[in-house]
Amino acid sequence: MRCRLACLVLWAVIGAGCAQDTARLAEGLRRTDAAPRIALMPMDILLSRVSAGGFSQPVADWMASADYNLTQALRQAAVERGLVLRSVDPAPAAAPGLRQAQLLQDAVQDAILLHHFGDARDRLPSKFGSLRWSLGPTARQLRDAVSADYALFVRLRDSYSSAGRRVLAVVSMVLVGMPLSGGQQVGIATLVDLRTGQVVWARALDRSTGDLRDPGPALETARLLLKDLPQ
Amino acid sequence: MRWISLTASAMTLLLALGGCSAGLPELVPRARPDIRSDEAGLWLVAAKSEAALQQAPTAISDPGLNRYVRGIACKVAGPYCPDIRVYLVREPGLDARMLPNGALQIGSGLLLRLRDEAQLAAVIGHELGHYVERHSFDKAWRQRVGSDIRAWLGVLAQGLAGGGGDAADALMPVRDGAFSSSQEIAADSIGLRQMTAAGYAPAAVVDFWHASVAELGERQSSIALRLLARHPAPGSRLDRLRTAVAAVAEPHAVRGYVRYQAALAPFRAAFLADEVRLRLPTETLRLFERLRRQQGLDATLAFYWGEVYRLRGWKDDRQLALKFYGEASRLPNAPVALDRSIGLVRRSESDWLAARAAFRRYLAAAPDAADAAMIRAYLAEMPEA
Repeated sequence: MRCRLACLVLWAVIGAGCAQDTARLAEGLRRTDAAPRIALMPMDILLSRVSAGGFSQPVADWMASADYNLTQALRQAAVERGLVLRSVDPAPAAAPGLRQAQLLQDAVQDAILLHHFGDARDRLPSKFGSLRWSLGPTARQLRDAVSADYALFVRLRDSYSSAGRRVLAVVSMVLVGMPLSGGQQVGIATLVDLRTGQVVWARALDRSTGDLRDPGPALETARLLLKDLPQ
Repeated sequence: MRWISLTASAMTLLLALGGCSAGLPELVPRARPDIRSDEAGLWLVAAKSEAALQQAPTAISDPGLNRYVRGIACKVAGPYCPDIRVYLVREPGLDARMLPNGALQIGSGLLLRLRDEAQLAAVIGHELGHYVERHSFDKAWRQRVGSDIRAWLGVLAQGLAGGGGDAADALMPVRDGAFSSSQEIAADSIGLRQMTAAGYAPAAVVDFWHASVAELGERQSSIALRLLARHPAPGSRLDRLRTAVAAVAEPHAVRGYVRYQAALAPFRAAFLADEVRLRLPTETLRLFERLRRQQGLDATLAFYWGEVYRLRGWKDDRQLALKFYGEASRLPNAPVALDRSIGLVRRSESDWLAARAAFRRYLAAAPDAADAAMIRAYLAEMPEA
């Protein structure tokens, strides 16, 4: 009860802090090609429902619509920025080595999230604040497999409060003065130059708004994701 | 605040017990969960894991072995045959797991430990039980409801007691990867039913667990922990299985020992090497004892037995290694690498004459071996006897 107001203020401050400063650009990236070929890699999206106790359950039909909505939305957001995205067939036969490239990119994205977007103590001194990560020779194989100059990798975790969670949040606020976290939209998008393997652009998303289940809000997420993509 | 967590645990326990007696209806063959259901979410996540399994670098792609294991899986699964997809992976230790969507992963360490086809059928039947009885979904449901109750009790108790900080503990969801003991017992009985229906001797299950208990022993090794974490106490399980098996008639009693060992033969050396590479000598020696009891000592097993001692390198281990290498060389089909290992042990004992002879035999048999240059360098730097 005592800290109800203080907690609210604190959470507002934390929330505001999360929303800013979320894109990183490698040095010297500029558009040399009139129409760069960008492949939208098969996205890794997980939508879940958070139960009252904080247990998150994946929801299949949300994921199916989110995959479609976000693909369409990213294409449109790209077109608004004068770019064309081409989707990649996720079947192993269509692009051999795709899985290994994605696993490598997952690891690189985790490192970027930790060392560029995470706590200030986790910054790597040797990077001097600049985005310098590479997929190495894997990128070249990928370039042949997907016939594109750049690859856009998107990984998103989108969760929504269940009715039980919402009720408990209200009760918790009233009774204990402690807010419960609700749904989150967390993720990262990276653009990889397939000629050099360099990660040339990265953007992180960490907020408690957004909805991929509907085309409208999905477009808002897509625009936000691609906001700082170099034009 | 102890009473809060006590109450919460008690409630969770009550709920778990309540759910236990209710149980979910079994999946019918070719069942697919409704896309809007919670179960469909689990299946979708499992499908992603399955896609990863299909392209895993550790996947065993040999068509012959895959066909063989799938054939047995199909026989055991009966009407569920189209629902079960088998994936063989190179993974030492004792492990098989069923994903909620019917993807069955079988580790090479398990294949190595099985004695015969009937034991493989028992394992597949057991894992099929987890699928048919929807144990993953059941477990997820219990965990969710358990965490909900804990959260509600935590908030209410905190609010009524006027406390502050401890609520966060109560709100932490508890995650647990294991099936419950009652689920394992249910899977055991389905496994027994299916393997018997497929014409296999149910006594094979008892042999398997008897050997596994002997191998894992009392020691809480990492391998033992991995297995026991998900399974009821092996001793009581063995007793339960003995009783159940005694009740089943054995008209056909197929064990399929020769067939199974023949199918596994081309891979056995690689699977044994994987176990040695774990560098858990005590556990690996126990495993080798088990294999010797089951199948006797052949040159490959004797060679890797020697390798365990050579790599451990305790006081008498060189002598023990040489003893097993000696056994291996007297048995038919000794591996080429045997002479290299003999050479390495002799070299470390400064027995240059014997080392030189062994290395020369190795190079004569495998002149293009990856480490041939290194062995030649060893030969060159050895003092003349």
